[in-house]
Amino acid sequence: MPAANNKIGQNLEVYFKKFRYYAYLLRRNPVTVVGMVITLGLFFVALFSPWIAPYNPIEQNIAIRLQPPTVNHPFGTDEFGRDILSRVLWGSRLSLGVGILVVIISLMIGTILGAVAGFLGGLVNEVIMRTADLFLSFPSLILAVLIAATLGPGQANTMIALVVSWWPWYTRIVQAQVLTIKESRYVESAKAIGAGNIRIIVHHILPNCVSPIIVQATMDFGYAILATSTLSFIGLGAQPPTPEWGLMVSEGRSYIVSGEWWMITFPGLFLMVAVLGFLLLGDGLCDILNPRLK
Amino acid sequence: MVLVLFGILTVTFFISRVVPGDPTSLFAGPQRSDPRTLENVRKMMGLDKPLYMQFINYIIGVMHGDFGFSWHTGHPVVEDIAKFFPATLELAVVSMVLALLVGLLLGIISATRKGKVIDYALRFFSYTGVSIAPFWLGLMLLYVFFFRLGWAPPPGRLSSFITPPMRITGLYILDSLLTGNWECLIDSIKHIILPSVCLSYGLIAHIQRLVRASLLEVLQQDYIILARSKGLPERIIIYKHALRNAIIPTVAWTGMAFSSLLGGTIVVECVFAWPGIGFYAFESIINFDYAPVLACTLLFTFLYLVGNLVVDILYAVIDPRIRSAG
Amino acid sequence: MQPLLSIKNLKVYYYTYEGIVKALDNVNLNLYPAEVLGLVGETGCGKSTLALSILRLIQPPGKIVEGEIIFKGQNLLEKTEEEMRKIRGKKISMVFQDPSTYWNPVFTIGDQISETIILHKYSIEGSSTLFKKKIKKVALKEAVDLLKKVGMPHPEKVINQYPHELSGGMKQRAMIALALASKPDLVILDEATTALDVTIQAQILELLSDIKKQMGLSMIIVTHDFGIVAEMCDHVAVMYAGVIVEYSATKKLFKNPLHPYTRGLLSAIPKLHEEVQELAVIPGTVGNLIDLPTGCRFHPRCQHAKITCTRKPPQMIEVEPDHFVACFLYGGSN
Repeated sequence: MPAANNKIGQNLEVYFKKFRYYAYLLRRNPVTVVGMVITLGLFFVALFSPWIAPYNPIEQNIAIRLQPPTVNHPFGTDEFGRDILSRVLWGSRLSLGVGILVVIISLMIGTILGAVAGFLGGLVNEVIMRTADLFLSFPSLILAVLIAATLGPGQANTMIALVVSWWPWYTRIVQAQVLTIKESRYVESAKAIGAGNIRIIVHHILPNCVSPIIVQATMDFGYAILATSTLSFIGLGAQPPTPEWGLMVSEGRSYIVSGEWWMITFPGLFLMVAVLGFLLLGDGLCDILNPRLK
Repeated sequence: MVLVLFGILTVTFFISRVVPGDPTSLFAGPQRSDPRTLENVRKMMGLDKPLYMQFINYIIGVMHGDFGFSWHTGHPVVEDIAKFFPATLELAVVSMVLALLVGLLLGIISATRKGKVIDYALRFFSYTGVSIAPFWLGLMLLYVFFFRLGWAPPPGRLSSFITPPMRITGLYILDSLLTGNWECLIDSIKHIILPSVCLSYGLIAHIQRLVRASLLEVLQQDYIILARSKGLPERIIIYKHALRNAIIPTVAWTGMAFSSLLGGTIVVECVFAWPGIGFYAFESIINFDYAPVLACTLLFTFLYLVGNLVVDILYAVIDPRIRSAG
Repeated sequence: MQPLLSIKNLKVYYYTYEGIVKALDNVNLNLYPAEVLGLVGETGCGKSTLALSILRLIQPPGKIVEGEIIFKGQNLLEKTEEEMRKIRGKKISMVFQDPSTYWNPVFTIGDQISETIILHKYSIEGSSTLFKKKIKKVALKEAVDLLKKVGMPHPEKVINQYPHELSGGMKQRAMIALALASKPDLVILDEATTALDVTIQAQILELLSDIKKQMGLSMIIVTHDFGIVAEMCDHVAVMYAGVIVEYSATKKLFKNPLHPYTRGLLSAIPKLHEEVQELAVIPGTVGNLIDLPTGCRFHPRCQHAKITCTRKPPQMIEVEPDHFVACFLYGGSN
């Protein structure tokens, strides 16, 4: 048999074995599957909400204001007669978009800084890590509130505020990983055969940082969504008439007195499920990427 | 610690001053259009002086307890903070204690009955706990327990017809106890239940997960096998040998937990009209009153640092290995 | 003479994802009062599993599937957990391999030793705190005496120290003291000297022989070191891949090793008085305990293997008095 065929056969077998192993892990962790389903569902809704949502989320219709859930409006209507279901669906776009952006930007900044700090060591390391530690000395939400309050209301400002609060976490993770790997044998041997610094970082060090970052980032998507909603609730994030979940809860707050519960319940529920989905997925990824024999 | 404090002051200073746009309008409030007021604020804040001088003045001001003036309450910020602080302290302490006790208990139950129904139920609970938004939880709790069931009192610290107890510490529960004011004691306890549940919910979930994970890991350790080979009853193995080791990572984490507790006070106090620092900060935010926000940030951060210090000390108390090392 | 401990047809399996690991299969063993039995074999042959099974300390996914463990006339496998607890640490105790991980790091040595003493000697359930404190003091004194007995320097100081403050040798001495606390009938030592360096090892072995002479207890010494066997043990059982392949009085084993595996092990030890060019090795590896060869487990590596060896596992036969072997070379193929 020609050598090429054999190699393909071998590769296929390796992939098959890996696949079976991952399938086994998934079976042992049904929770992860739930997380995956939820997050995929969320992405789907966010992507297709303009087509799924039955009504225009900001179109007002005072005539039907404050209606409880009905067949026409499964989630009811708010004080301006806007359909809550549509608003919630559109809100997923916002929350998901902002959440992902915040995490990805923090991740990039944090990774670059962390890798540089860990790899170069010395003064650079001290400066970067001390700065990161300083930012981490603030309770995270408090810092974000301060920055958002300084910059003023608005989604963009919230994002900036969150990124500034978030990047130090990634810097820490990456720096720690880089430090460990830097001292490991195979980097030593790579250096011995003359690999340049950049090649070492890119080929050897970064790939090994990937798994803790992936786990952290996945869970952070959830936390970022929660944080943006909280900021919107306080009044610092999205502004009316944007259909943002936190903002919707804040707007519906005064109507609880008169018993109109649906304005708050549905956005909050979606918020919880969204965050939950990412957390479950992150937890599951953590289990899969660091298997420990039970 | 002092270094960190200094660093924090620096960061907050720069955030508040080196901002796109004119910092004066931040501190002046909505009366931004009036040039006269702006000029006054400018002078008052020393914004006409060079940056490094401003910084020095800022530090000096902070050391003298001068955090500026809150125009929406009409008082110096320091006075406001002194007024609002005890409420937050009371709420934070109650929530923390609640979180630790319940979280520990649930974590132990979950770990010792691993794989059984109650373990799955508790794990599900902990997942929801971590993903629920505190502001939403608070509102839902209010809706169910106040509006629908009428079990809980309306938001606030005391019913309107009851006068607060004589002020010894400012902590109503403690003061009522010390002065024997039973009516007030019961009332303040009734009022603190929902907000503290709301604030501690997320923490309970986290602590429970942490205790469960570390307890499970500790139970795999060799010294547990030895303990079993000694013939010790399972109860003692879990509560004496295993738990003592399992709490260590939990204690270490509690410091971080404190951070989310502090962050949570803003929304929880807002939802429950709890007259504390978080509420003050919230009111300041929606009124565009900047000086209090800055001050509250500093205060929260300071509390966080203190909390972490306490945790470090506790850590050394519990783990003798740390004692020998440092 | 009645054996102190008699193991019959013991089967211990581990149920894992990859399959059922047959850690112990049809193990038979006898231990007599006041004698020392050595359990030898390579890593992974099941020695530790056997040691843990005696005290019923096997945790899931492991399970004692079949067999009897008769201790002083009673089958331990039929006892309730409550009854077993009265035996563990009291009648049968165990000394483990790595003293650094087997001591609880957050309690003092004195705490952990006195705990056993209080547990088995005094019953303090429901007594007043004052009484408990008094008993604790008494127990701590007894702990000091025990530490003296095992040759621990400055025992009064050690009582108040934490495990990480002691050296490996001291921790192991303390563990032996712990095992002797309730004057057990049987002490199982699971590779108790493997983690120590040679000089300390020698001291510990000397200590153990003294104790054996003084207290007249039985010991099971699990080890992979034939030197220890030669020095300490009256009888020795050689294990391979979960079964016992040879059992004999120590002198007879060294004089006349019967099983090919035993021979291979003994010849692999370089001897000072011989001059050899190459070290003798046993070809092959132990292999998977899930996919076991049919018949005798050693036959794939055995130079004397025949067809009979692949058909069914050999039974233990007494070739000479007090010398048993499970090998078809010595008969038993009908």
